[in-house]
Amino acid sequence: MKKLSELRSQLDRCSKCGNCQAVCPLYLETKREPLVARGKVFLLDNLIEGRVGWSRRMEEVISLCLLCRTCEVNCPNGVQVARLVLAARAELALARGLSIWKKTAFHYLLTSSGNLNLLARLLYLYQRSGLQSVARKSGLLQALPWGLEDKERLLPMVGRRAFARTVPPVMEAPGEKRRVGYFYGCMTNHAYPGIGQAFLTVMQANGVTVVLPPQVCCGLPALASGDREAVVKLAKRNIGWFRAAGVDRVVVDCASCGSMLKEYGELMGTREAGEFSQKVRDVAEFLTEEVDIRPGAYPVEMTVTYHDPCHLKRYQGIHRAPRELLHAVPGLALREMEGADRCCGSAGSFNLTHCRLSMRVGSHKTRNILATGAEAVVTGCPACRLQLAKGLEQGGSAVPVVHTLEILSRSYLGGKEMG
Amino acid sequence: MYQAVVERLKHIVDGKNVVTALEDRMTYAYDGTMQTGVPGVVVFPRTAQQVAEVLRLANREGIPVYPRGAGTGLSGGSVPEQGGIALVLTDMNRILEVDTGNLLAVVEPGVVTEALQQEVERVGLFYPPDPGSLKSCTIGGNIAENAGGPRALKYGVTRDYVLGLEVVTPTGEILRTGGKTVKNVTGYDLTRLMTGSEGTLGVITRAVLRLIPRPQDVRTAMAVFATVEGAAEAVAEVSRRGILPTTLELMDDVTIRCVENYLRMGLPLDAGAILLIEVDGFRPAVDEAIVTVEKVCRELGATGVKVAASPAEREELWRARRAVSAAIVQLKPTKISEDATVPRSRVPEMVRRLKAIAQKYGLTMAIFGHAGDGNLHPNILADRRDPEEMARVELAVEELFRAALELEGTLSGEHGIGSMKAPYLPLEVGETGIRVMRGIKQVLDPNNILSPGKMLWG
Ligand SMILES: Cc1cc2nc3c(=O)[nH]c(=O)nc-3n(C[C@H](O)[C@H](O)[C@H](O)COP(=O)(O)OP(=O)(O)OC[C@H]3O[C@@H](n4cnc5c(N)ncnc54)[C@H](O)[C@@H]3O)c2cc1C
Ligand code: SF4
Ligand code: SF4
Repeated sequence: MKKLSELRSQLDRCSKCGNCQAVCPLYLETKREPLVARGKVFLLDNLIEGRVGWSRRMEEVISLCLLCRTCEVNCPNGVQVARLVLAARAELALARGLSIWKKTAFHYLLTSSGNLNLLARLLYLYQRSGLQSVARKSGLLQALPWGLEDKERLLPMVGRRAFARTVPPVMEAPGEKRRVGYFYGCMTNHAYPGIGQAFLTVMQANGVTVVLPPQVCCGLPALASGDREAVVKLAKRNIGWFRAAGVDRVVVDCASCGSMLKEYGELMGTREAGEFSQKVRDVAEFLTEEVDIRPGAYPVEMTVTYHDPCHLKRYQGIHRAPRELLHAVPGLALREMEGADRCCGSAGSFNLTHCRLSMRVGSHKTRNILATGAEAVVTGCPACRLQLAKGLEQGGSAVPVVHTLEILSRSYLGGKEMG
Repeated sequence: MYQAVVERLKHIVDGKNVVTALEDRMTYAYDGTMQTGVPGVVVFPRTAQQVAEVLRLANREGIPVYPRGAGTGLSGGSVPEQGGIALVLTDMNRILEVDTGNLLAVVEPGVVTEALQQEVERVGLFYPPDPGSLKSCTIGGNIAENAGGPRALKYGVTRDYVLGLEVVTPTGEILRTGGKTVKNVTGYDLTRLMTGSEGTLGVITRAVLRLIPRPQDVRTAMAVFATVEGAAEAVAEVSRRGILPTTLELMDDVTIRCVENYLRMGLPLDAGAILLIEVDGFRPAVDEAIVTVEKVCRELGATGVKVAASPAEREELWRARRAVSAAIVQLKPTKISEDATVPRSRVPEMVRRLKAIAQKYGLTMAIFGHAGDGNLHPNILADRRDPEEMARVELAVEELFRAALELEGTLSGEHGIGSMKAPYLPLEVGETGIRVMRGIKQVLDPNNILSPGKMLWG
């Protein structure tokens, strides 16, 4: 993992052309230069040169990035902005320490899946017990600082039981053709177990045996907060468990986790991590390239639109595969929206730390989705799903958001209900 | 910045539109060049009234003001080299009117050029000026720099589309120039004076822009030549045959090799020049024109000519040209981009001289640009952290300016003088030119508070 000062050549590459202004979702929203790639690059350059230090404002500016990499793909000089911002956040974490709640979360809760279960259960109780609606109605939340009321709305509805607890460690496929390890990620596990079920259905139907080794958070939230130590800890555990499972593929249904797992190699620089990363495939990538996929016989008569997660399109270069899968589903019509690959504004915990700005970024997405008249939005990342659903809800729309796998799964099972 | 002034500014514009934290101010210290200067305060006005009040205050207190659009300028014009107020106009970004009857648009200065183009194209109209930065730069910046672009050969530059302006003078008065008519000879042509004045004479707060009907279609060809001379001959012959292309983009051998190394799209590495030629107009007319273009190129020794048969193929041909910036910085991180311009018949000689200059100073130079109007972009590639190399760059740049003038050209075809070329301005306009310009400046800006240090004081 490179330090900021080792990335000086990246800083030098920026010609300050301003091309990033045309695409950075945060700049387009605010028209303020500290938020665009060019501004951050210039500030980081000055930070290295010692002309500015880690002030509160500097900290805030560095937190104001979606890590969506839209600027990078439009940068004539190939400046790796996300990498620079991550390095800066790591530097900051070292210089000033992580905020207490983040530290606790990353080191204590996330490194032990058992504890995350506990947290999830508390959330579940909170949501189910009626406390949530009491809190909402009483205006208690409004009284709290920094727009907690918005944040609260962004917490996922947590399922009664974690997905992993509802399935055996191995799901043998009849007439097994392949055997893969499944990395389901925290969001699928706790908020969207339906995605996990769909994963299993699709794999079963295509002769793929699924192994579900124990696993912890991929580490992306920690990385985005600059806590590299936590990432390494988490990575080591995941790598160990999947090696023990003896699988030659690690298939992921979360774009964010997928991009993180694929970076373990580079991040840790060990051969073991490199080999692990080589095995990682996003589920759409896996299904289109490594399985002779046959969609089910039940037609899914509906019109959908597809949202490209940043972590699929720009981090992993995957955007055709999910569309191919959707096109193959009988009865389904795909209607592209304008700006399908525009960031939804979720960006990990950005939607919690900069809630209003995040929702503003998302509002364009909501508008573009509704303009297609689609009956559902399909995407490949549960984190985007949460954000898209909140955006649609706020926009007064009942259009559901689903994972590509859930559409596919429907073609095997039939049935109408979505979302 | 004095606290009292900041308080006054907060009174004029909304408090959140006055920014004083060092980190924020630093991000308004640069433009598209390597020049920097941190402003004392950054102000985002929303109306001409607010701009006028800010300027009155500054004039009274003797505070420098630097107007700024998107900060993509390539001559250091918006860089607050003497501190003071960075007056950022990007919040004034409304398109107030698109008048299809009178073929004009009324806009605020912060409108992004491409946004205007998209808006007028929706109603079948066309705003032709197309600087390479059009996705980011603002109309205010375009007018202030009199920006051009590849289409200038046929359609002219920003100046040719400005009918009228609302300008706040450095003393804080609101001046209206021109109007809504194409013909207007009432009084001095202040519209033209303000256009290209680089933020030294006034702050543009509104513009009436001329539009034209959108051309029905475009055709694109790419031709490969063994030498720049061959390409230049083809350029001349095309117009002798009665065709005025929209675009004639030239890339020299160094540029071609950079692009090919970068994209691996099969460009010939032994070529001396590539021309990208575009014609637009009614469909039957462009279909005929592109055939003639192809014929001319072949007759004049093009080793390969490709005509795009579809929009996708057109994109493919443009891909090489669009990749130039990215491709050349693969060689070295810092690019020094000039835009010296010569009459187009002197293009081959200018290219020869540029190459000699690069060789003399041991520098790498890629030359590309607009062969149709003689506006070349010699880009020197260097490393800004190598002071010895940067010193050679400076010498080479000065020699390059002299070469352009000797060939009856100009220091700058479109990027402007700003602070970068200010020292060389007398070379071109002479003592009298400087005196007249300073006289005009003195009348409008007696206390020299607007963009001090730029253009006239090198
Ligand atoms: C990649 C790239 C490609 C480019 N290609 C071209 C090209 O093809 N052709 C070309 O001509 N230029 C080109 N440029 C240069 C630049 O984009 C233009 O000069 C553009 O017009 C600047 O607009 P801006 O909004 O960024 O202005 P800024 O850079 O913010 O300001 C430029 C000048 O205008 C003044 N100014 C800005 N707004 C106002 C206002 N409202 N009132 C008064 N003064 C004002 C400033 O004080 C400054 O002197 C390119 C730049 C880049 C980075
Ligand atoms: S697009 Fe790239 S080179 Fe240009 S200003 Fe942004 S980061 Fe810098
Ligand atoms: S990564 Fe996204 S949010 Fe961050 S600077 Fe680039 S475009 Fe803007």
